[in-house]
Amino acid sequence: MSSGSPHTFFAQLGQAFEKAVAASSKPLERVYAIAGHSIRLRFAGPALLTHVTRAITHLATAPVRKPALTICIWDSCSTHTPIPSPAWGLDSYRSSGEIREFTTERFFTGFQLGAGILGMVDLERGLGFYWIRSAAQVPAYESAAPLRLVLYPWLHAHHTLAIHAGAVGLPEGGVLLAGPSGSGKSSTALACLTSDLFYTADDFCLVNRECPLTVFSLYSTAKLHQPGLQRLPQIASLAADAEPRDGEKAIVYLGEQRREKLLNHFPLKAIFIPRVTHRAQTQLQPASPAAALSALTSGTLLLLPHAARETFHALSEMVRQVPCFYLQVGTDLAQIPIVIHQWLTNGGHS
Amino acid sequence: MISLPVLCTNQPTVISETFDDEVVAVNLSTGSYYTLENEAAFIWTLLAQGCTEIELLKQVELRYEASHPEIERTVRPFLAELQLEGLVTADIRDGGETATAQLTARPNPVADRPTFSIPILHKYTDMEELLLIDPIHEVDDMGWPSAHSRTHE
Repeated sequence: MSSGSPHTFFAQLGQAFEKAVAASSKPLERVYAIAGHSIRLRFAGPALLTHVTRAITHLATAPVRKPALTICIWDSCSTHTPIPSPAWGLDSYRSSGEIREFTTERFFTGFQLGAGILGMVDLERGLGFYWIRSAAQVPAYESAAPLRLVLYPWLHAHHTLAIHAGAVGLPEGGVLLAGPSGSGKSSTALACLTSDLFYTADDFCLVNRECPLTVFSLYSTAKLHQPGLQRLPQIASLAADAEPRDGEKAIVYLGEQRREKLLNHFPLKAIFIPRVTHRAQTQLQPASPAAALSALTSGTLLLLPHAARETFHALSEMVRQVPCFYLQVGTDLAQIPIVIHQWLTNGGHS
Repeated sequence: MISLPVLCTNQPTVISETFDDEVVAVNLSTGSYYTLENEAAFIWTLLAQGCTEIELLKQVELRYEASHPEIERTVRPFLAELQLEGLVTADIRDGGETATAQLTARPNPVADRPTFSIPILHKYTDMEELLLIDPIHEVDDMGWPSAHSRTHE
């Protein structure tokens, strides 16, 4: 085993984390049920607790004896514990953040350049590490969708796809909202908060690869640009930051503000592709499986580029199993949940 | 024997799925993805098997109602576009004619041939844009990289 191997670096991370725990006066543990898996978060200290857990409070569960995955989390600033120097060169970073030589069949290693976050997971042992230099450096977008570097590869290895799609529905069944950023996924999902439908995701969710296909909530956050906030004033009032920086989205923590409207999982009944129109009415039109695959492809393959081939084929299997529709989203937002609800309750289960 | 270039989909860089008369393809090296319908999807299925341009044109002619010059005039630029996008490669192989003889496309009876329309490649670049992440600008004391500005999220 060379000193620059994933095994060695992983062991060094483990030693650094235990030092951070020893240096901290208050290590903490939390357990979450994510896509049917018990996942334990071990915090060396309290500095990152809120940053990491705020978006997943709706998935909190009781402690378990043997979690499927344990993620060890620390920052250097509050624990005065650095991480080992990288055992790879600058040319090892892929544009998506993956570290080429340290992503193998057993290990996934990634570095989020903008946020300066390191994630590494041993898929075989069910153990991962998540590090950032300082809690003060955690960007708002990371708090809104935390732990991706560790969770996505581990879930992928456990037959669960991280998907770039919104999701709304009823306990008996619901729909994915597929499309690139700006296509109306968030507005559609949030418009359902004032209806009988439940909210599962506006941007990212999980889908298992077993039959029946089941959609799982991951993050209870909703993100909206200024025009969306103006169209949904009842959501704007819930935003964590009422005046986000130019070009950034406002974030709403629905797990805190609308817990009763969250649905943690539902059987997948259809894929809807929102298309914003200037008509008042919202309508459904049949779409081909290819259209749904195309709508899901853009954001989803980027979530885990090293597994893009397998993900693409899994998505293609998924779009063949359920009906697909264009959701022609009208300007009368109240109609959106009505159309979805009608489809789900009137024959959508055929 | 003269060996003609065999055109085939650029595997493994390009992945694709076929649904009846529609295809979704992704170029993993650029992040661009594409949809192809009807004539374009039919041509893609021929390219997935590997064939010479001559054989491909012949197969299109057997399937659609159109003259050979018309097919040649529209399909050749389409093939060039596919190659330009890195979706299709042209390889010189011995026995190229043998490979083309294995094409599985079935000719339509003359009366059933649909009218031929120009094959179109629909390209989407939103994934490509998301891959344009900030370059690494600096390295800290421990050797970890940092960027001046934030990545696209």
